[in-house]
Amino acid sequence: MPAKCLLTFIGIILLVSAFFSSANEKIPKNETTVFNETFSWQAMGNIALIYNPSLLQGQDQGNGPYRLGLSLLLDIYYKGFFIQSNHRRASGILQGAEFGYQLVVTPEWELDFISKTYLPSYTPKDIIDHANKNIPTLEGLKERSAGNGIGLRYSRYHHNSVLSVDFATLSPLSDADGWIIDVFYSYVLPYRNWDIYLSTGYTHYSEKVMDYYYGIDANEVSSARPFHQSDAGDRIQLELFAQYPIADKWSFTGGVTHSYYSKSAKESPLVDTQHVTQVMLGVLYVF
Amino acid sequence: MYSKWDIGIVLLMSSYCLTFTVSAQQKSAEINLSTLLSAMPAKCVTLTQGRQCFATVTLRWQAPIIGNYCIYQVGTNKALDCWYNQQQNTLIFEFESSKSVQYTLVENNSEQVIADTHIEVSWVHKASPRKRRWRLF
Repeated sequence: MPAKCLLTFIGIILLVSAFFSSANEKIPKNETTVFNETFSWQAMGNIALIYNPSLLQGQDQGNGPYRLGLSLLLDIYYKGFFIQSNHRRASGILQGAEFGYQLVVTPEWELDFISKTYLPSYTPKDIIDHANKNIPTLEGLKERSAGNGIGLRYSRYHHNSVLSVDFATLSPLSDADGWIIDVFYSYVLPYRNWDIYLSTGYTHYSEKVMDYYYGIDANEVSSARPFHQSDAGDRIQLELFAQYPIADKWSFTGGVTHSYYSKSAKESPLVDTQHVTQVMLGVLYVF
Repeated sequence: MYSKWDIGIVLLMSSYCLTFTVSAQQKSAEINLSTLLSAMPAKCVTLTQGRQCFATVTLRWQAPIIGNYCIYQVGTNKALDCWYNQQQNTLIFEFESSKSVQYTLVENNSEQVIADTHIEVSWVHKASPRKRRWRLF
């Protein structure tokens, strides 16, 4: 069934791409691709105070969900291949970075082959050690590896906004073995030297993805953790992010994201809440 | 070969020329010291290369003598502001440009530029061939 959905979705994307390709025939040929662009890169360092509570029960104990994040971010582009870090995300060099290849580029839309981490890993033992307290729901639970996926991203650009749709499978690169649809819309509101981003997102996680992260296998059952098989789940996000230049190479970055997860997430014995609010305040240095 | 008179004339002329040069340099230095056009802030930083940069800028000027003066933005014919029978003043205005801009202080009667300054526009991120998609978490 997911394979059929994947094929259907790819078909829709290709049809939509073909439609817009023909609609944009008036655009000069040299503007429809960027394959003749030269190599470009940008390296950045980010220091941020991050409030990042978890869906998982007990994870926010110990030092709490606050942490100071230090990251090295890289943007590299060469003849259609790209690595794009997320400037706002203070979660290390790779998590949050997107590796890809531009299949079709026009000024209005773009189709990329993409690989990125869609879901973070978690190690129950480390969470318990960090909390310095036993967390019965996580005690003896197996590690969940990162949800690295590959797929297609369709991006539609408007003046000051972008709508992107990712359709990705986690099967080849992750133990999660499922698929994800991720829709994200972001509108930038420039105010003097500020960039203010108003964004919203919708993510659908297939049953296998949800079950890998929030399901309880028969061999993981305990008194605090009954057997649980997760259904497919959804997430809706609202985000406000702002960036302001402080000096030649420095900028202030700050943002808040609120995520609402569907009932299927909350039904897991591992999960505490359906609502998660994350906050990040930091400075970005461009090398 | 040379008479005492010849040597005397050469020395006298050399002395005169030297005195004139020193005097001219002193006068120039005095004008430079008393003539001033400065911008605060002198740099405007924008997030991305090529984007408009905004700043509230104060231009201070000072001339060697009381007179009529105007401040111009280089490349435009319209004066930002003019002053009559004044020797110094300030101009506060809203700067908006994607490129560095030069300003000149012009003496109205002679239309001579007597001082200049510039506001440099720089950026945090260089322009990228890729359009960006931003996301926080």
